[in-house]
Amino acid sequence: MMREALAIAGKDFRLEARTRERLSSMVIFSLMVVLSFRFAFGFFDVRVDQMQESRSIVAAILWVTFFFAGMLGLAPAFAKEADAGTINGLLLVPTSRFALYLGKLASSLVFIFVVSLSTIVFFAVFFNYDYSGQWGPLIAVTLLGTLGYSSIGVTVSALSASAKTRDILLPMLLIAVALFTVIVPSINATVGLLSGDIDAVVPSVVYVGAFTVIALLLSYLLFDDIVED
Amino acid sequence: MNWTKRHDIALLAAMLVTLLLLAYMSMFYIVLPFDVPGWHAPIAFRIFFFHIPLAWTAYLSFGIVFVASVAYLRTRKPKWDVVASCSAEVGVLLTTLALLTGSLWSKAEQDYYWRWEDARLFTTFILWMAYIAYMALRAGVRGDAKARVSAVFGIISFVFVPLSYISSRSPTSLHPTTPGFFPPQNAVTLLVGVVALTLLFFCLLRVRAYQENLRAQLEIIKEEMEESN
Repeated sequence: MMREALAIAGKDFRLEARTRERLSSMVIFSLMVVLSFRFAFGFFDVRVDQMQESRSIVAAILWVTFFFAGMLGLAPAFAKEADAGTINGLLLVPTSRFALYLGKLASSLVFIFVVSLSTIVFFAVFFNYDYSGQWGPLIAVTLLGTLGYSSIGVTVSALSASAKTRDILLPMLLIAVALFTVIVPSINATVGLLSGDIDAVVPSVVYVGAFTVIALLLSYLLFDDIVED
Repeated sequence: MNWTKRHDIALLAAMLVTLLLLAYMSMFYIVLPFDVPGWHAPIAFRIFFFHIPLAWTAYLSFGIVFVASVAYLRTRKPKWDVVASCSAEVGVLLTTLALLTGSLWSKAEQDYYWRWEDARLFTTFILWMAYIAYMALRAGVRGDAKARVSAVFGIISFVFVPLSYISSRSPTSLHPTTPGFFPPQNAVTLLVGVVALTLLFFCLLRVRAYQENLRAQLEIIKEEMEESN
């Protein structure tokens, strides 16, 4: 099963290497969002005195950008296959449907994580911010958060792929299922690590981890029913 | 035993009687906490006999969505899809009313309508959004996939029901928990309220399911007429 999943993910990467559609639009989008925040905040400096409030603002800007850029990454995961009719080919692969989920999870996670890393860099550049030197923990929390986000996001993307109104439906479904379960605790964890307060990070990280396990379990149980032909 | 019109009339009558009884008891029978220190608006206390049963029936309706969705995926019988979708609609209505009654009480007692930091309020809001997203998903997907896809989402969004229920124990929640402040005499009124609202829920569910069945029959008749032309 792992071999098939990796083959599906590999196909997505090869497609991306040839067309450069998905990742480039996500990176440009995240750059535009960070720039919008830069101009929206005017002369406000996130490094100055009101440190705790500023950390909340930094974490919120980062995760809102990950969330919206991630939507651009999740939308084509199944919609493109459905439009091109290639979903039927994927369904003919003689393996469990969960392999298809895992393959799409792997490719979406890589896209979203790469975009999140570039967002972190854009933010550091435009806001002249060094994340209190906590680069390692920040990247670890980002990886966990984007894993949780992709694990439920791929399932929701598959659900909405057959809908006519999917462009508006996917954001709606993602806000309902991912905002509270992944994005908000990830913001809390990020605020905690920026202020060097490990006690605030641990419960949020456990929460995101637990939800990721639930999302994987639900996807394992339900994915057969989602992508039936 | 078949469900007949007589059962419907009995259900309707029982609902009306208990609802009137609840109205009477919440006005003239209950003990208001005038003497208990810390209560600013004892009169507004009456709304609890509607608020708690509304919240309970909302959880019940989403529980029915979950059970009916599992049953649909197991059996693929359209009647389960009808039960799930109608129960979700009534559940959204009940949650809306629970949120409104809760806000009104909070304004009278604590002088604010809403606190985003309160975990109970926040998780219930997310629960409400999840089932609105469920209805949007149903509106967006056409054809055979509709019942299947919405059943999957009906199972996923049930995650928020236990989350909303346990969230009142969160340290950031000021939402009262039931046993503490209820004078024992009021337990009877609360019980009447729960029975009345549960019966109301089943009445509404019956009406909606009846409409859905009529609509399905109409579709069949239309198809037959087109074929015969």
